[in-house]
Amino acid sequence: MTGSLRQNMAWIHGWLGLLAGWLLFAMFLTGTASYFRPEITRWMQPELPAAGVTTAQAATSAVAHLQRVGADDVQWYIYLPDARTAITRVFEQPNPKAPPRPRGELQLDPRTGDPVAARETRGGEHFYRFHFQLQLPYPWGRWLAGLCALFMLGAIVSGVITHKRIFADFFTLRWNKGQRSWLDAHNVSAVLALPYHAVITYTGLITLVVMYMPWPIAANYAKPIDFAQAAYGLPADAEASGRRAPLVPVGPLVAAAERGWGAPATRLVVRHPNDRAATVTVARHAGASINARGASVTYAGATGRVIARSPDPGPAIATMGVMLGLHIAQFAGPALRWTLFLLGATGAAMVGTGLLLWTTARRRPGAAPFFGLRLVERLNIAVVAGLPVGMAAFFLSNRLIPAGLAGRADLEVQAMFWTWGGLALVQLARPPRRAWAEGFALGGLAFAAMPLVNLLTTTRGLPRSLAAADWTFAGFDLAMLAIALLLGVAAARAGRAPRLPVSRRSKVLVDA
Amino acid sequence: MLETALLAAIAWLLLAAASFRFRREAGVPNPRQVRALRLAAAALLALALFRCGTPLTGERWIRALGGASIGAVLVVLALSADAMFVLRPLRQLLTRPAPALLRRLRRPVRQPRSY
Amino acid sequence: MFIDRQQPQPAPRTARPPWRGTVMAVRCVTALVGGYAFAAVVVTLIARLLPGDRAEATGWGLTLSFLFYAAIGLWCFHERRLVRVAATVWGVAVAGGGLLWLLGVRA
Repeated sequence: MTGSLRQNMAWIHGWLGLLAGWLLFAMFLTGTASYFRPEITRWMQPELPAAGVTTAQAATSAVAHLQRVGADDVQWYIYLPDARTAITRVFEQPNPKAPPRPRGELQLDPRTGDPVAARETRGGEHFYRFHFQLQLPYPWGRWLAGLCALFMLGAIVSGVITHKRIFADFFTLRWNKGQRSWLDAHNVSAVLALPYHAVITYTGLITLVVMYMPWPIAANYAKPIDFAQAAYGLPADAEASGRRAPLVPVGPLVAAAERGWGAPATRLVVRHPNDRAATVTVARHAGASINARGASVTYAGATGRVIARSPDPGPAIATMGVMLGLHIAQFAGPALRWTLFLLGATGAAMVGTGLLLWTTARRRPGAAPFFGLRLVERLNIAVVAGLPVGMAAFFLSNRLIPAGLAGRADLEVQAMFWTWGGLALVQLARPPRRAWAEGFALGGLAFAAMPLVNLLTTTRGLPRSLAAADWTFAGFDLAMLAIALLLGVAAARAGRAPRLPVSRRSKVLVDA
Repeated sequence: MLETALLAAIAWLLLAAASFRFRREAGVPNPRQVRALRLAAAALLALALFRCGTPLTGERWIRALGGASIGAVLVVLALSADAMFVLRPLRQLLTRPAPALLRRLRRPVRQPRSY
Repeated sequence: MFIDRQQPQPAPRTARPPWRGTVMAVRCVTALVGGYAFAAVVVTLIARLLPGDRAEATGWGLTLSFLFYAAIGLWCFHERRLVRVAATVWGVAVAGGGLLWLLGVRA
């Protein structure tokens, strides 16, 4: 590569950012939304009142339900409710010999164990899963997301190397200067929140590192499961013995585990229920530590005796747990969570301004745009203006699709992708400047409509939730209004024709 | 959290005033004051770090860095909108000559002040 | 992207040698695929050879993996001579891989 280190890093920074930019923008938006995954799910099931049961009760009721519908399952994963989540979420791993039934996530009322009497929806899970699977089948989505994250890491490192006057230009943000403004905006959003971006990117890769880089495990353990056992104290996968034994009540097991930790439980995994070799693993809620891998204790399912405990992690395993925690921020209280949300939005701004800078830097006044420029510009509009509208469509469809309709959860997801895809195509009929302005304006309208639609279709509209200090619902509606305002401002600015640049005809030194 | 962000924002404002770009708007006349501003900013950032106490080990750093970033973004946005207005309090503080300030302090209270 | 006055103008398309595309493709494949192999081999050797607890050594290898990958990937686009890039990346990957195969799984 010809050129100095700075020039080469600038070149690769541009390519890494361009190739991964659109997917990264989508990952940033959906990942930032995922900071409020349980709150989004709650907003999307307005029929549910706030829970008020203990984790032990929730575990008992969930197991009772599962004994009725899936007593012969291989495994039950039971996610217990907590301060932010109002429902018990259950995943069953069915017995291969059982007749097939429709499977998916079960949402149970923690009090009764029955399926929730609320509209069926993916809720915040949809954004969370899209964030690292990109709606592609396993394992391709995760690989693609990992590749994009790797490109992001390369872009961060090369961006820092190439940024010449990183301290002198620290406070520089010039408006209405075309390319210079986009560069300033890209620098501001990238540099001022650089610790956040670097940490999020690297820890994001580490969350799935066992899938991306299994080789260190393979070199040290003949069976990879032994690593999970050594690191996290998971019991060896015992085969079902084939002899039946009733499962002991799990409520007392959960309560005993919580007493031992002095902290609530978050999850139960029951293996081979109703078998002599059944195990019940209770995991501690990780909200009280940065390390996201909480301790766990495993009981024998037939007798209730403790058979395994997670070991105190050594520094390397603890580091991995802390990295996971830094990414998913399970420990964050409301103030810090909103801060992280804003920083995530800054990350989306960093990617978006970078993509826009790419086109602005290559536009020559008076010359027709080359094909690559037109392609990138159209993709920019499709993603930066289109995805927010798609996300709004997901929320709006939740309120507009009848609550009792079967398969409505899938319809909501389809609403998001059809809207996004439809906009991406329709914008081709408009000149780029109009497409930007109209796309943002549509997004502003969609988000502004949200609290109104909520008010008209449910009993938990903004005035009532403000009066009742229901901050989940009020916060959600207010956030929608704030996003609507932001998109409205963007639409107004995008619609204005640019001032004619007072520039030299020769190439301008564009310095970072 | 809010306190952390605000303290950091003031610190960034002082650093901006000391930076070459905004020295004129801030009315910073000489290098000694530049150094003093930077020291004050560092002190404020350290204060922000120490004051965001939480029970969790390590969460302090996350709060401090997060608040500092948010504060920095807000300061840069404000400065880009209207630097003269944002830096006015600091400018008034820095360019008022010291003897006049002392004279004003020594003046007895009952004398009517004219603005 | 960042057009610098000091950098010479890129040659017009007709004057560029025809193998330039291939050279760039080889560099990209070396960075992406070779870089992965390089990083995998380096951290696996670290995990395999670090004394002490097996799980800990594995953990350090996993944690450092992407640091190596990003660094070597960026270096592939900085070093001018493609021969040096390819030799380093593929050489370490193959040699390290061979060494790991000889070492076998940790007992």
